[in-house]
Amino acid sequence: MSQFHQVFFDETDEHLATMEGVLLAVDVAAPDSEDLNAIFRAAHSIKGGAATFGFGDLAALTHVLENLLDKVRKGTMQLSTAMVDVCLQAKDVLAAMLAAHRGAPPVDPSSVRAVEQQLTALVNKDAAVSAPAAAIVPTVPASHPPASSTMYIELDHLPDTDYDALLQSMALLGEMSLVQPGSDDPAQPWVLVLTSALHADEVSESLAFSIAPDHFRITVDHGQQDEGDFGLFLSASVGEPAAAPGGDVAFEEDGFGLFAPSLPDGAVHGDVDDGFGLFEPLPDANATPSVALEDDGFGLFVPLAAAEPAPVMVHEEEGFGLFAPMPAASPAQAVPPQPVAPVAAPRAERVQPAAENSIRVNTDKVDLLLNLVGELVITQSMLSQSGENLDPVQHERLLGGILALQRNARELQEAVMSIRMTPISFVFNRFPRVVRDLASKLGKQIELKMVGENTELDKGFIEKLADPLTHLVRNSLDHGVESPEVRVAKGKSATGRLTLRAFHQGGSIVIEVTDDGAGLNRARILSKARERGMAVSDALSDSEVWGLIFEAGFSTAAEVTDVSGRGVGMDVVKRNIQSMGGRIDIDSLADFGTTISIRLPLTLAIMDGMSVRSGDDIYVIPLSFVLESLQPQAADLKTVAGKGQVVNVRGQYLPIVSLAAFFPGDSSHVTTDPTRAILVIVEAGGQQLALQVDELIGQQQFVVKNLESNYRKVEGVAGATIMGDGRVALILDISIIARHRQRQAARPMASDPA
Amino acid sequence: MSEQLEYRHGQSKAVRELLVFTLGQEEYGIDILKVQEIRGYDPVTRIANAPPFIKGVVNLRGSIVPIVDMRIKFGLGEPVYDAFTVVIILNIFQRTVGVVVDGVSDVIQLEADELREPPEFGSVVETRYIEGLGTKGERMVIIVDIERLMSSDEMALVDVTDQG
Repeated sequence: MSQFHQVFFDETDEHLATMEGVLLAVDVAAPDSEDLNAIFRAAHSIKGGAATFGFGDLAALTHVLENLLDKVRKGTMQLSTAMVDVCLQAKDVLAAMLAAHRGAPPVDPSSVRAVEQQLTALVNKDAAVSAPAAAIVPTVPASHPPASSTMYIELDHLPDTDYDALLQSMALLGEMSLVQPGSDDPAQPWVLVLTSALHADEVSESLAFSIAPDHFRITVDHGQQDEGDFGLFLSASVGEPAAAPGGDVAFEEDGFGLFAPSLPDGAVHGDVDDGFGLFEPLPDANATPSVALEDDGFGLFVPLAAAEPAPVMVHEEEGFGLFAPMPAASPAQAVPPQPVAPVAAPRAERVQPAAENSIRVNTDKVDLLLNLVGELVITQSMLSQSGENLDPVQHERLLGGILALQRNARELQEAVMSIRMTPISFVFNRFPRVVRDLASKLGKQIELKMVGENTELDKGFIEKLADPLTHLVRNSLDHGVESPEVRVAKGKSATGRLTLRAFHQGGSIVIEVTDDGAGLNRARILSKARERGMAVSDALSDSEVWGLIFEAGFSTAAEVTDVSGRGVGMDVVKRNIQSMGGRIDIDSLADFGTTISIRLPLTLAIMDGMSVRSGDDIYVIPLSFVLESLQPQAADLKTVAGKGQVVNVRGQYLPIVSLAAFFPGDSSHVTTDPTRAILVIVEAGGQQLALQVDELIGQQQFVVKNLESNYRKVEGVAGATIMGDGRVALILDISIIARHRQRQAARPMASDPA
Repeated sequence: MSEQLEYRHGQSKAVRELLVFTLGQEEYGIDILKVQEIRGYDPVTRIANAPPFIKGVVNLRGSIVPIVDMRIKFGLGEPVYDAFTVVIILNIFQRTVGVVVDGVSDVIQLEADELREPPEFGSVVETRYIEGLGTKGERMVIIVDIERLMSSDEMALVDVTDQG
């Protein structure tokens, strides 16, 4: 059983994420019925899974949540901001419960009860108001895929049958609406209308699970078998809203429109181009808006405001017409037609999750595959090297084969790498929530915009990016974006804008966090730096000044809040990014905003590096740390007492660190004279230093291997890689080497010349 | 022939299968299930600041594997690395480690009555890493708890924090 638990946990995680994502995106005033369905389905799936696996607490809470969502989805209750808030809380509690089942500390039962009570309160509040209407207000199915058929189902009311559950399971079969709730009176059975792609026999089989076959009857409605472009015209019973609801339901097997003109003369249907579409001119003031639940993308009916009769619009993905007639007959019709387009547009763009086309694979398997391919590439490069010495005429076929192998190996490597690629939306998705919560806490108005969520990057980055990015977003909200009053005073809109953007640039991925806030305060950073005893001059360039905020313990926040400002963070952010082989840059303009951009290599497993020789050893320096390399002149070298040698690089004195001295060993082949060695200027942790090596070998991409999987951490080494000849080379951890030197330099003297 | 019969016979008894290698004058046995493979000695990449018996790391089909020279670790003469140097690749605590020994002799099966308590006298390997003695006729094999030995602090192969 426990192996299924893992699957359940994974799936529930996904459902919760979906739920949160949709809840945050949903337009409270005019919810898309597809969104409401998505939330409901997620809750329903969690409930089903939880009950199956015996997680009663999860199932119980989801059940309450589901009740609420079902009402909203059916249109019997109007979505409100309070509801979204409670649903989000419920989601958090569910996530905590799930974590508890996975071994995390148990959830505080009082928080569960609180959420449950809030949910119940919402459901009941509504029930009091709309209970009489709820039972008879059907969701009107409209156009359908041609394959579906409509059935009228009568269920006898039996004392110990759970009709709620039965109806819910029916709703999963297709478009279901309740025409008449049953009662003990045998003359009043439950009457449902179900439109589904299933055959009546299949429906009856499903029903037979819950209710004895002789207690239900199914009548298949073959509808109007019209071949032409006709619709079905129904005179809405103006003035008697609740009368004969069954008669109001019209079904069309061929996906044509549904016409329910409120005006008796039905004069609206004059310009039916192709007959696809739905006209619902101004419903009667008491009439209930019709909500169409459509999974197949045929027609979409979105009531713009469920409380008052709203124009019903049709969005046809196949490019059929969009009809949103706005009869001006009634003063109640105040909703302007503009909302139609914005609501419809995102739907067309929305990417449908292609669950059927993907498989769940353990990352270990992918990593194994990646390892094997890496091996293949190394073997191939070995072959290529030996092939170079062969006579091209004599060994034409062999050399041709090696060339083909090289191409195939590279393509295979790229293909395997692409398996590890995950869209950055996995990181971005958390931010709508973070921003929403933070903005309300800080009393700021923030509009979050995310661009390029589908940009793919290595799965390994996804987890590691979450913390630094969250930190940057919190910083932007707390220190960057001003309060609405300040913004208005500055002549900006009261709503601040925060943009998260991801895109590819060359061989890297760039992730930008942009706000249109106050920008960094140069004077304040400089004075803060002096306060902390840093030697800074006013002549520093802007980018050098911005770089100061990455120093440990640096915070310019006027006051420390619980959001940020304690000065732990930016240095950690920078260190995290650098440990991924990335870079972080700041661009800021006062009162215009700040952009922090993170540049990462395409994948964690491959890194651009420069291979260098020190004595007999080969090391790889990650290219992201390398500024330049040079061979110094004797005149540029100086020895500072107690601190070793420094080199003058364009007026700046940089300490020289000999790699051979940092990694002591057999030193017989090491060049000690810097003028005959090579100095690689590297930058890490805000300081530059010159790394003395014997030779530069080359610059290439390296497959990064973990040294710790079979060995332990080695100071100054970030990992290992396999060279073309199959030997191992160590990848240097420049930031550790820099810090190590700093500590050594600090020992004899207190201050630092850098 | 007789050994094979013994082996079949011994299946029902508690049989231990050991890989026997030589180190100096002594024969040592390690649990065969811990052994991944036996290979020759490839040039290693030196790791700075490591103890001298950790020769370095090699590339074993894509994973980086540290190589420990037992001869240096236990002070058995001047190690030579040539075509006859043997490396036993071990699979212990989900890690892969290579050990250099003087030579690998064979694989033996030990029955329960051929196992003895560890001796009080010292061998080059410390007593606490010795599980017992195996006797097979005239031969005596020292059974090493290789997992405990390789994960010990003195081997410096694993960080203290991620042991276990």
